[in-house]
Amino acid sequence: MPNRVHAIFDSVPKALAAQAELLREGFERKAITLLSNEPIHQSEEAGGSRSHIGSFAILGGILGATSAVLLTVITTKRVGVVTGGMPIVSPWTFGIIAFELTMLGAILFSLACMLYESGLGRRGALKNYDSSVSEGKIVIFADCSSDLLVEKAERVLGKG
Amino acid sequence: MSKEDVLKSNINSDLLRPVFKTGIGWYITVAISGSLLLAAMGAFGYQLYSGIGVWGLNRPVMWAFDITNFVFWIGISHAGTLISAILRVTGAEWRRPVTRCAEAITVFALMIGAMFPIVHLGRPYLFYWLAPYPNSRGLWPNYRSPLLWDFFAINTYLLGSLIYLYLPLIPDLALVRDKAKGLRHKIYSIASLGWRGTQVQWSRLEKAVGVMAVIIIPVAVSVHTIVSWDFAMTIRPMWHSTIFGPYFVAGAIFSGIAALIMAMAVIRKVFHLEAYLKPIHFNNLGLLLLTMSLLWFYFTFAEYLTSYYGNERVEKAVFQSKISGAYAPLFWAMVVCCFVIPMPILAIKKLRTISGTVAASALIVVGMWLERFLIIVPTLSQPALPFNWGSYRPTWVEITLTAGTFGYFVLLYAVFTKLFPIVAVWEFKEGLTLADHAGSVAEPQRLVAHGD
Repeated sequence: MPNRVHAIFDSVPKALAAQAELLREGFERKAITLLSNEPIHQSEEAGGSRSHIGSFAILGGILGATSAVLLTVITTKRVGVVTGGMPIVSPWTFGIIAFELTMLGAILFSLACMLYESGLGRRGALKNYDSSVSEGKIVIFADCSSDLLVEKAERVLGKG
Repeated sequence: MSKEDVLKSNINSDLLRPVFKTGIGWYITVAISGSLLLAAMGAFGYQLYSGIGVWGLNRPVMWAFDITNFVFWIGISHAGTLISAILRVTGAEWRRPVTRCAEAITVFALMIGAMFPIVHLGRPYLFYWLAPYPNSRGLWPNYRSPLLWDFFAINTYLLGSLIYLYLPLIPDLALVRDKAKGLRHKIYSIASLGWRGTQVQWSRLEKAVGVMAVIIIPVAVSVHTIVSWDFAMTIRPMWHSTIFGPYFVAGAIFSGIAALIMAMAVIRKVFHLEAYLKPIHFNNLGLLLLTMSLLWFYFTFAEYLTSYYGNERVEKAVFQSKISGAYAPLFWAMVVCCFVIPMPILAIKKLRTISGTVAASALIVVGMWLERFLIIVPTLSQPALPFNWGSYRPTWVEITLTAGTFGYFVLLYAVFTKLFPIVAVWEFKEGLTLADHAGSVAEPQRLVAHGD
């Protein structure tokens, strides 16, 4: 039966030391969650998984550009916009719309990826939370898959 | 306890105080700015009822105050997101207390600027005809039109700026959520999207803000370039210029920084944020302003010299009207406001104080509004054929609408400061931690976490 143990720390070094000790005691990296009210760049968790935000921005840009081409070229041709004898498709001017929609796609996809990867906006997102984080405390949650791990977590985090 | 530690322990209470406590100054600000906005709404209602004949527009001057305001406010919007993004990308540490003040300016200035083409339509309730969607009228937007480029560019920039403002705000919304009670707690809980402050969330947030900063810079540049093309794509004297794009972008950043300095000074005074918005921030922004002032002067000189040297009849007529004709008082006022007075104030270190930079900024904002007016009206009042020349005088409706935009801007900003921390709390704390860490990196106890 999974169980969860948490502890509150006054300082970042103490919390990081506890996190490192939990890892040494056999906890998986994803079983330890460190909460703080500012980024802790030295944390093991921060660099733990790779972000796809950059790739999603590129994907969004490609989709944005594609939709811009569809919007400008296809619709203008279908509607048959009156251009006074000039070509209906004007790459220079349509390119401006394509640029804006490329950027828009990149922005929206980056946002979507960020929200997804960070688990924001989900029901029950605040389930494992302690509001002392807002007062500058560092909180560590340890997910324990066995009684032995619960015991270890209590011993390590008890020092907090 | 070091000075930094004392500051760090007070950050939450100092920066969240404006959100939870409301001073009399805030109510006075809202009352004055709200009155200006109400007056403008009255003028707009009168215009809707009577038609745009109540403006001073005529043939040939068909654009005037409304389009001046449009260009001016879009320019002001360049203070925020663009400056913030550049400072983030370049890793300028002093940016931390400044970014949110700046990003909020962008969103509100864009909202106001984007209103004016719609107001100028005459029948603003038909603005949706601009949007590309199948309709029974057989109308379809012409993507060749610079006005349609504006539609796409401004909306992209507005949406991007909103997201760029919102993302770094999420952790601070969570701070307010934890402190608030009742309905307020519920609202901030929704707005903070269940932010907990896990290191994965921090890492994703910083990554996303970094990616957005890179994307938003070319968007911001494109917006004012496209606004300049509203003019440069026509074959009108002193409009059909290849340097209009960069000239407008430089002017936009110039006026934007000036607006940012003024907003920061007011926030600093009203909310007693002297420990956060320090003289160094005004000094650094003052130096940026000085650079932009020189750049603006360079572009203006290049633009006018080309017209003068070309000696084309139609260009020369507009040129003369600005230098020594009917618009000369406004032109020279612009030069004095944008260059002659601000230059020494910003260049001399002793004068580059908070009051000095604010005084220079106030003049620059006025000067840049005049610049926008002088780009638009003299050219329109003297088209190629002299029999068609005319003049322009604004009516009370246009003046009230213009004053109302300033009221609206201040009102939006005041409401924003009441709802959200105007200085990014977590970014400021992170800055202090990084500075502290950099100063004591050799201490062994700091390296405990790196073991294993």
